[in-house]
Amino acid sequence: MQAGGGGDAGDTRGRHRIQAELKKLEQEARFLEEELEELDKTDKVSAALQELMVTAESKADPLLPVTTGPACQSWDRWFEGPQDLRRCKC
Amino acid sequence: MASVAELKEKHAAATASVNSLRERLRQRRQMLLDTDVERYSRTQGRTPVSFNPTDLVCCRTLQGHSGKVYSLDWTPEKNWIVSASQDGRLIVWNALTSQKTHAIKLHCPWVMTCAFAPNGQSVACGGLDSACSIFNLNSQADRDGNIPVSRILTGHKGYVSSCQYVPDQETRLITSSGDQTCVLWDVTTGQRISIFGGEFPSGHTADVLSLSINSSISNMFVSGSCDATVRLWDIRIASRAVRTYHGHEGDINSVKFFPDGQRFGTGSDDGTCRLFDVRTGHQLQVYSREPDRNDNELPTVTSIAFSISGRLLFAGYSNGDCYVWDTLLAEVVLNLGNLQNSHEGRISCLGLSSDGSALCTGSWDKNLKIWAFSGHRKIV
Repeated sequence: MQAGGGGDAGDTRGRHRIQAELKKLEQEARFLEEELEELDKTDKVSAALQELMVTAESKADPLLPVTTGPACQSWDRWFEGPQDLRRCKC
Repeated sequence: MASVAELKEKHAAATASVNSLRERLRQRRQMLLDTDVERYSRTQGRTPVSFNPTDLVCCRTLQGHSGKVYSLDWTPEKNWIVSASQDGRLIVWNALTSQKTHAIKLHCPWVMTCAFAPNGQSVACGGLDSACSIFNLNSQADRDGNIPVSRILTGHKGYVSSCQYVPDQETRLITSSGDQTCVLWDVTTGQRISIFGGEFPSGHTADVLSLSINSSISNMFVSGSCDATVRLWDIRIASRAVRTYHGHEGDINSVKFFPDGQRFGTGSDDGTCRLFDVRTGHQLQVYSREPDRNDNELPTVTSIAFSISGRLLFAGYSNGDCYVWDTLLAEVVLNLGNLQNSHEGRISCLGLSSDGSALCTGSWDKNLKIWAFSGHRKIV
């Protein structure tokens, strides 16, 4: 049937759509309530930041000018041997 | 049976209830934001990373595409890269020698994303054909030199915006799509294992543009969407998102897990990058660029990547900038877009080699570039 057709059919379609949306909203409300409860037991932002800082500073990073070791020789492979001007032969 | 009028009344009440809960959540979260990464790092005496002008240099330019480069991915083990372009081709590169090892002509040229399989033997791509195509790089090429497609994953009802193999699993791949869902696939059989979002509640309400799989806990992944949220999913439970992360005010174009898997970064049309804590849902930091007097509009963030320690956040912008952010101090410490041999167009994609020694950037100028550290490295 075409959209905007018979009155009853249109009514039914409207009812189903609203019911589906309502169900979705009710579920979302439940999820939000769960999150709110969880948040009551959640630490402040500062509690997570020490761990973040330790993580970012404890791993050797070849792109940093100052980094923790161990250094790996293969980091510098990009500057060894023939480079850039080699053209593809395929 | 309730009348339509009664249902409408219930609907209005439920909408009001959801809005009120959202506001309460926002306020409660605001109370927990006692600091951010930048302020905390400064109070701990940290100073920004300092680069000399020749520390990070472009050491390779990979030329071969005849259209804009849209996506790239490194192999986990070797120095290989796959790139996808507007020219309708995938190219597999040996990044160390700059040589092309494969050029794959696609049936559907409107490709948006590509990925390397963990074993480096296959590549996947997706785009406006709403499918994800798999190519086995060991397949015999036909008379025209084309590699035949080995599997086509169909089922999405919108374009495939992003694809990524589950780490260490050649047979599992996740795609994100313009149909508002993500899908976990069995590449061997071509079957959809799980659909994340769509009809289920708590799914995205607009196109999904990006995804990132947690490398430490590979059953968790995050997806970024045009609904301005990121959602965390457990691969084993498709029925609902584990968490939704709010904060951005525009489409989320890029999402990447922080190296420790406990946090993730985002890049958005709102011009900012952000760092979120996975477990608590807190927004830990906003990385906002200073307004540019020459820009009528704030450049959007197209793609992001973290250095292997997480200390650096690389962000490509729509105006051709490629900022290197100090993640801890929230300061721009370098702009690769201003350096010698930089791209001449928008940087559309970014990726780090598996050992973190090189960054690859792909651009609308048709090229890919490899960046590495050439200065004096101090080991402490």
